[in-house]
Amino acid sequence: MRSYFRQRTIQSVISLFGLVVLVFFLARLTGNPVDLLLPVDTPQSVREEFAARHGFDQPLLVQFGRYLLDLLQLDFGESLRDGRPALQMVLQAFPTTLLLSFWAMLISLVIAIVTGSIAAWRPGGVFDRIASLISLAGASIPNFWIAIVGVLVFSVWLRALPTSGTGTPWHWIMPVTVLFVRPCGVLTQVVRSSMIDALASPYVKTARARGVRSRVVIFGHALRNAMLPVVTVAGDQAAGMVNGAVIAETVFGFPGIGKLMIDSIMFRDFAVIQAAVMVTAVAIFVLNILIDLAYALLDPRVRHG
Amino acid sequence: MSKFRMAGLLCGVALGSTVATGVLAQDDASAITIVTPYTFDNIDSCNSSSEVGLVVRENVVEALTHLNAETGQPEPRLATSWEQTEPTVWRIKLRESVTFSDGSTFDAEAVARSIDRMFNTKLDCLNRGKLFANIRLTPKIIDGHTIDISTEKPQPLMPIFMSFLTIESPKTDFDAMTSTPVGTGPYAIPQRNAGDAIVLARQDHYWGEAPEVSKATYVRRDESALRAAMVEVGEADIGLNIAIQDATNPETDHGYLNGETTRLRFSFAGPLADIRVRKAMNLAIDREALRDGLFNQDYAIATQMFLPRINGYNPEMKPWPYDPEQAKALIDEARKAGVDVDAEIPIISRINFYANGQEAMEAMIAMWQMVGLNVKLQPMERAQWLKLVNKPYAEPRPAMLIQEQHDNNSGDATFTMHFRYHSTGQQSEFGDAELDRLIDAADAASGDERVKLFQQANAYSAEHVVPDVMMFHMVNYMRISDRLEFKPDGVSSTMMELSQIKFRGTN
Amino acid sequence: MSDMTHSTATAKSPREHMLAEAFLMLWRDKFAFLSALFLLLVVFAAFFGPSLLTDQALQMNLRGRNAPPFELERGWIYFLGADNLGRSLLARLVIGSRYTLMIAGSAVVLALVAGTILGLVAGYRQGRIATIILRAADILMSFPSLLLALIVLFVLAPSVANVVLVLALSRVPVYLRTCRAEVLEIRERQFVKAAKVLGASHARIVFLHILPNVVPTLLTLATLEFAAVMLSESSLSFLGLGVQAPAVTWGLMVADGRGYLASAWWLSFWPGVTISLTAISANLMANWIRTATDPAQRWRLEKRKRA
Repeated sequence: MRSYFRQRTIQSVISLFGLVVLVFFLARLTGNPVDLLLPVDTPQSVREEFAARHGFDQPLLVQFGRYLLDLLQLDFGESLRDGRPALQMVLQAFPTTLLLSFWAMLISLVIAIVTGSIAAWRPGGVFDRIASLISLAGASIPNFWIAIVGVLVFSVWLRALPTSGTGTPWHWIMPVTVLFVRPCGVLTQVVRSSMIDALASPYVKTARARGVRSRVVIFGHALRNAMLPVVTVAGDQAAGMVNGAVIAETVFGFPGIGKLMIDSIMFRDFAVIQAAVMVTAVAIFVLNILIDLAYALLDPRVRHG
Repeated sequence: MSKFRMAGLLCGVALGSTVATGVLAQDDASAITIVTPYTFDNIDSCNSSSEVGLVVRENVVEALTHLNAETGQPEPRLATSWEQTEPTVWRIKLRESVTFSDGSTFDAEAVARSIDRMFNTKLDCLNRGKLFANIRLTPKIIDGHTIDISTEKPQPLMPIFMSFLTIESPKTDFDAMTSTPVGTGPYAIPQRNAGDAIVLARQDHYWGEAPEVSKATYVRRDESALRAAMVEVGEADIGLNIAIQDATNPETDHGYLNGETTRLRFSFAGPLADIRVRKAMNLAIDREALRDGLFNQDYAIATQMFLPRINGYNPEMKPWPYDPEQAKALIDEARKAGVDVDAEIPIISRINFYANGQEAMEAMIAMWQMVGLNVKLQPMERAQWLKLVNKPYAEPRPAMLIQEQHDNNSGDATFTMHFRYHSTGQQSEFGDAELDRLIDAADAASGDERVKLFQQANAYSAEHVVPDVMMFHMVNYMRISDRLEFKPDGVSSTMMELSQIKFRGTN
Repeated sequence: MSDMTHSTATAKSPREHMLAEAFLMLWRDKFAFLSALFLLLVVFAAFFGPSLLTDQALQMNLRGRNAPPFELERGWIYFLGADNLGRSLLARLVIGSRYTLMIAGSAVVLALVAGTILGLVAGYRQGRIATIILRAADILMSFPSLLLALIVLFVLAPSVANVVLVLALSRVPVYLRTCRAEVLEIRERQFVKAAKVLGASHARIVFLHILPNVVPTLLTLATLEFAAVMLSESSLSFLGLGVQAPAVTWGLMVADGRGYLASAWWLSFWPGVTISLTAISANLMANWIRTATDPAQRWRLEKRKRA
């Protein structure tokens, strides 16, 4: 177990380094931050001065070398836009997204597992039909719809919820809803699909044939076997939450990392992009390690290489 | 549902509504909330010429002069009088008995330090880049309230420049930008960290009349529909940059010219090198249909690249008529003269440039296709577009039209004309000797002579050069809660003076 | 039964018999039947729509901007309303079907195939190759998709193929990891172990024994991904990185209508509904196919259900 952890950690560090290199060089292919930050009319002399002050006139490898040296001292550079340390900005924004994602994933998983399992018990039945239609609709609705229509209905028309901002738990209802609808829809279908298979497995058939009444026992065992793909897809959805949270954060004004990343990318604020990608990468790598461990827990037969 | 559940549900809804409305109500009746799409990244005073000015200009930091919104003429603010004592020197008298909100004295030393700080190469001051790239201001203290500002070349526009020199406290860090600027204005910013919401609080030591608004909080929301909704439900008092389609309430929604003018710039290559083709492309556009269809009556059809309040605006110039027959005739003429009018002409648009910008391009393309031109839309992301817009251009320069928008809120035509129409201009596509001569002469002149020369240059350019397809003077919409009395004006896109905001029902 | 029926029955070829059987199974699942019809409609529109409708769809009419739906005065083609340039939404939906199916379909298939192959390798072989594949997937998952889209756009020219590339690339990891998870589980099952003992080659085991068991889950995933890809394409279009005019996709239409949700909801609504219906239909069809081809499940479609 310990050696597995050690192995994975080493691999993750190497992957992280690979990611840093990729992002550093590829991002710089997409345009010049000098041009984007300064007004369009800025004379060439001012642009050059700005570029020199921030080291953009150096050869790429020199810039990279300097960046690595700074990294070793945990200095991720400063944002071009307001001069704040990039890492500080990212670490300030990350918890908001983490919290939004946590609630969204929790609600998604609970609803998905319950609904998907019940639907799988009788595929084609009334419950299954309704649940499938709702979950599929949820999985295919554009999330900015939910956001803006939600504001129009619940804030403007009904005056029941605040439009945006982060103050109270009431402020979190709509953003979290926007975030959980799609994963919930997807996961419900995945649970349903896996449970149908699991419920048709020999073990379950034998158990039912032998007269095991306890639905709980049958469900429990079937669920455990069905969880492997569910956990995988859930992990993918969780990893995608940073992207998905962009809409929720943009519309509702939550200062999260999705919004920060989009803004930085649009302005080519490389230091912040790199810091944000690294922080989210660490989270995703950890998540994937946990998921692999979950496989082993759920199905002891599964071995890791 | 059982009775208990029903009761519980009702309680929950009631509680919820209370909490929600509690959140919505203002705790201080003279505090307001302003919602904008901007991030206001770096609100240091030396960035006040950018959108940062919306927050700090004349609220937190004040400038030496203030441009009148209607006439564009400079009026006294922190400077009480000024005169050009020598061609390259302006002597400025400063207002007395003014203090900064941190207690420091406002005097010539503070002004000199502020100017020097703007030119400090260690700082990314946007003011320096925008206005003073090639003009070095050298302050010289004469006495406590008199200061000389000298330049290398004569600068008749100094009073206008002075409206951009926002003065910050001498205690401001000289070598670092600050997220809490301190100035002489009626408001101060309580201690904050970069990234925190911006709050302006009325300060007690202001030299002028105390404003009604005691506190202003600036929040950011990206979606126009949301900003409009916030004002509608009372979570905000003023919403900026409301989209046309959301500005549906004439009681609360006010349009104002934001100083931007849109156009399509010709590159003088391929068929576009021929003036007949350029004239034809102007004649083929039905600007009124475009305006009424895609925008609305608040938008003005533009004849030149800046607004009437800017020095050098020529009121005699008329917009191009819509004459597709004449356009076709000109194109035929050009074709007979050997110009390859059937070559494909790309129309370079910039994605998400301005509201309905993309639609406008598509509509114009249809109009050009109607007169037989081979035009194709080529949308570009901002970074790609920027590469095309500024010199040095990549050679060979292809034939194309480039969608552009320009704002001149700086009071004088030189900020526009030189850049775009002079042969050495960074965004110029051509070189016309006569136009160069007119612009140079205007630059060197002052007063009425200057205005006249710029007007001539403008007219000459539109008639004899035809460097672009002019579109509109653009409009912004502001949604203002009915508990406020406030009307936006021509400069509302660059500053919002909170002292002009009054509360309805108070005398 | 009479001789007539008997001889008629044997006169049918096995193939016709199968088709009739399939049709009946489809008919018995009304939802799947409707889905099939809808999908056929969409495919028909994709094939023939552009040639039947082009002029009207692209016709701009500034005076008819944002015309509301359900008004027949302007003609039946404007029944769903008009977009922000006055073009018929119905016509654009029909034309958009071709590009949408092409782009979303290609992206999903590409990601599915690539992810499945890599997942099979990673799950079956384990060892160093698997590690490299999995860590590469980790890196791809952590790479922001917007940045990826910008990079592809800048380095390669903007085109339909590159949009497909961007959409496919960002979705490979989920297929890869799901397939691998399934493989990890299936390879431990009795029948696989038995096959190994009997000396079956690796290829045989993977393709004959493991793959068929992995396919149902991946198929469900693919149909769910179909909608996700169409919506991703919408986000790309909103930022200006997707397909460009005159190409139309439903995602582009949804993105265009974003600023008008409060004032002209139909701009985003109809393409959004179409995306949903297509995704739902694809999913229901996939479920039906699964049920029909799984010997353990097809009884649901064969027996007539009594109320």
